[in-house]
Amino acid sequence: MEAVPLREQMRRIAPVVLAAEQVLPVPEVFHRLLPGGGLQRGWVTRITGGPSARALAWAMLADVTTAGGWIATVDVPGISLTAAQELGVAIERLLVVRTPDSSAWSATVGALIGSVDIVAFGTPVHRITPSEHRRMASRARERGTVLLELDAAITTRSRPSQLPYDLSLLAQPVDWVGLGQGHGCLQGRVLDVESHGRRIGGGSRSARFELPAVDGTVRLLEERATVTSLHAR
Amino acid sequence: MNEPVRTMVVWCTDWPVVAADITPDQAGAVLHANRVVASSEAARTVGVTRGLRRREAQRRCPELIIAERDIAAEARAFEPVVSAIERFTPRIELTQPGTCLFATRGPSRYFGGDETLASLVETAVRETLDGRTNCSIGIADGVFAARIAARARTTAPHIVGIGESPDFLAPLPITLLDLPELTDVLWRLGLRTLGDFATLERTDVLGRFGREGVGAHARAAGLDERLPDAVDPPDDLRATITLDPPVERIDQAAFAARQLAVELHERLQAKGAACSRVTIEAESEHGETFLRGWRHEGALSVAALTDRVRWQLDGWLNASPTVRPSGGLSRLSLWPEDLLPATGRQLGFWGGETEADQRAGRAVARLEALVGVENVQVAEWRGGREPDDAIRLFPASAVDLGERQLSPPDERPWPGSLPSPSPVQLFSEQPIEVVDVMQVPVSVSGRGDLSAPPASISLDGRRWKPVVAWAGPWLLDERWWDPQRSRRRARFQLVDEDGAALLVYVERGGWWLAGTY
Repeated sequence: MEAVPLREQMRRIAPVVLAAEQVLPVPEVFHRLLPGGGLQRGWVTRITGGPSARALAWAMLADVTTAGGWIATVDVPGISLTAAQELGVAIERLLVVRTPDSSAWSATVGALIGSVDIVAFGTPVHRITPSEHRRMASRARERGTVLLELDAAITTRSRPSQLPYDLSLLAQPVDWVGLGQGHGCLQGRVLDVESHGRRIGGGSRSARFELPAVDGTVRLLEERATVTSLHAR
Repeated sequence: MNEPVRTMVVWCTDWPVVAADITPDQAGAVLHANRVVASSEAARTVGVTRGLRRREAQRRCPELIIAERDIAAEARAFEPVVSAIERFTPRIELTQPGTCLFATRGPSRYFGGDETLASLVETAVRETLDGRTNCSIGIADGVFAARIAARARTTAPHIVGIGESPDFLAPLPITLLDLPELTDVLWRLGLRTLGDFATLERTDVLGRFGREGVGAHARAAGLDERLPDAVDPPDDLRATITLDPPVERIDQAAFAARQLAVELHERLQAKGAACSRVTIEAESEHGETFLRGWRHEGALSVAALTDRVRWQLDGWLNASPTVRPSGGLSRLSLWPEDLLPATGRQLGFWGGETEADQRAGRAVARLEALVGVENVQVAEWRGGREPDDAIRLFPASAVDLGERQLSPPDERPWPGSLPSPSPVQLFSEQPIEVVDVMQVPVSVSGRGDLSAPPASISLDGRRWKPVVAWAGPWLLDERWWDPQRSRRRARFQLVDEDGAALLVYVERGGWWLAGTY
């Protein structure tokens, strides 16, 4: 029998999946930020920007849960389920997991990969070894789960990440609507979101949203030109 | 129709109260979902009855001791009682913690008649209970009649003679069937006693009330409680797992329980069947075997099966040293005792039961073994005025995942709650400093007057950020009658110069951060 290189063999028997099937749905307003119009299954992504990052994450993941997908969070402190529900997440498909100590972290994330569609985790406080990360990322690619690091900082400053990312989103609050000097109440936020990553052509894209708008929805305010800067990341 | 099986029912009164460590002379009540589900003798004498709301119960009896319902603890506490009865017969079935039953034919003959057996069992159970509550015993043909006999609350065991069950039941009120929708119709049809209902033709009952009606009709007539289309299960429905290494801790056992329940459920589903009675068998590494049956009024869902296996394993592993397994459990089996057609009476696990739901359900079981039962949580709506109140997290194992409530029952707002958007990240006991332009801490009077507008804030006392917009105070004073859970706070919304919006409040003379938007 003719010897076929292992890599060739693997390529031949790998199932063919269309790119569209590998994309998790996100609301249409975010399509401009994401190259394939959704979150690619198997991607390692990151959302930073303090509390606004949470709001952005819930708004983006809402469509996944309403379409029947599951989200699990690992060690994300202070989750507000009310806010998640307001931003459209079907919270009956949300699992909240805490790890008692950092030694269980990898096993927990590993158990969730392949079982849920999105594993969102707070920035790990312990060190993740490069081999651990490679294992995690390749398992996620194989099982089609999106890994999402959620920045858990109180302020807008965020901790440096330990993992390389396919996609990184940065949320920066610009303004708040509704609050005055001693009167009114918070009604809506204007948010700038910038996306960059090695999978989206090396450039960065940015857009300004009302998230939430005064009526509770998410609205695209303006889209700024794609700034290509190959040396940015 | 099968001949009714002669059955003994042992009923320990007020079991939830006993399991909550409330003695009969203390006024205590056990609540579930804000309603009283059981109350102690002393509480009943002052009018605390089942179904009352917490507030009403506390109004009637201010010194009432209140405990939240914990069925797992009830099952654990009941295990010694069942072990005591196990001296008389090996095949005991539990309907719920506090009530168990067994067929008396064999044991009766061995111990010399129903009366002798009943008094022996009563002595054994009373010894175990040690005055914590009362137990009552009923023997009759058929489970339903025996249960009614046990509930008759006579001092001595209530024994209904062989063949006398129909006469015993006939004069009793129809409401004992405990099917409010059915008995309501029967009552309006003029059928006031079980005897009246039993005289109807069975075919007429089937035509008008369906399967459930026939079951009730059989019970009222003192016949076998088994639903008419139940059949004996074939042997291949036995689900078994071998545990290597043997399991000694309850969290590991809980993991095995879920696996076992899922396996049995899948096998039943493949046959289009469901079951209402199961037997759980455990074998320890030293070869001891333990056997116990559980029964349920309707078909058992996966969640219900898991609960029962878990309660049972918990009971065995935490029993007193004399009856506990001498080593870890090495093999578990679960098999159904009857088969019903799966009519979809009960929702599947996780409600809709898509493939994604099943995968997530399996992940829950795996994670519970990995990080502990209390660290895997899901959401449930509870209602409240503060963002951390309205929807709360509960351990996935403590919640019926298929029947969760996730949004308010109606659209009416909670007075005093802040309008949406809600903060996205919540904090507890996180102090923050809020000062005015003179760097003096801002204070709020009891009437809600501010000493000065807030000008800057700091989380660590070193880095200060100017406040660019603010509003408040919104006063909240809730549950003042409950020292542990009362809240009296004044809430504010602030936006700092970085564009971060915060929800802060004044309570106990200090400023706290509740959440960030």
